[in-house]
Amino acid sequence: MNLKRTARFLREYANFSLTIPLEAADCIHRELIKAYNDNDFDSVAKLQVKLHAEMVVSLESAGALLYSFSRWDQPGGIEMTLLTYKNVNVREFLNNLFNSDNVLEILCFPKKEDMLKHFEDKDYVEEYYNSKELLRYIKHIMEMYMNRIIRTLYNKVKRSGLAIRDVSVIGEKKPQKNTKVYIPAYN
Amino acid sequence: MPVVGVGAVRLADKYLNNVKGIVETMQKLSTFFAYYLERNLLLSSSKDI
Repeated sequence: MNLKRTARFLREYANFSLTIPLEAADCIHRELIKAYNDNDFDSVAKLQVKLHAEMVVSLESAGALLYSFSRWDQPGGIEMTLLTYKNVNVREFLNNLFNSDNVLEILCFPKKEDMLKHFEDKDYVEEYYNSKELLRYIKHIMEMYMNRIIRTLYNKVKRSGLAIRDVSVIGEKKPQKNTKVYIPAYN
Repeated sequence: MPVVGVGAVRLADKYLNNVKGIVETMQKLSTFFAYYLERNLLLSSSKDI
């Protein structure tokens, strides 16, 4: 295992690869505002669905990153995990993580004594560097991804283009293609 | 045509801010992990997980 190569990959991932979803979301958002100002509401609705999908993709990538951390010293390591993971891997991993009380160990994070040696704010480490706080932080970000409605909406974007509708509202069992676009909302 | 009000723009702002927050978190986590990986201070993974 080449630790230097993996570390370099992670730094490039942070500084370059992760700017791509942000750029994409920013472009969609700018076009959406333009369409809104032009009273082009069909485009607003479609762009909103695209922006929502971009958000869910980002969440899935974040889950995949956590999943890859947990496999950093296994064959393929972080890079291969990020290249080959399936959606179900992320969901199962997060489910396990959410029900665990040893999140630090699962994510292979360093021991507290090592953190104390390297982290400047020792008080912060003493108080917050534990599985309970880390889990709370991860849940705060990732719970939206674990919401079945959010994922279902995203899957509909992938499978039926932009024809999204809440079938339960209109009394149908299956979504139909080429119907009106409904804007997903999540609070 | 779907009904779209100013709420649609607010929702779009929220989605964009969520993406920003998620990306910033991932950047911090990646850098954090790289730092401790370089120093060989990460815990070993368990194959049971």
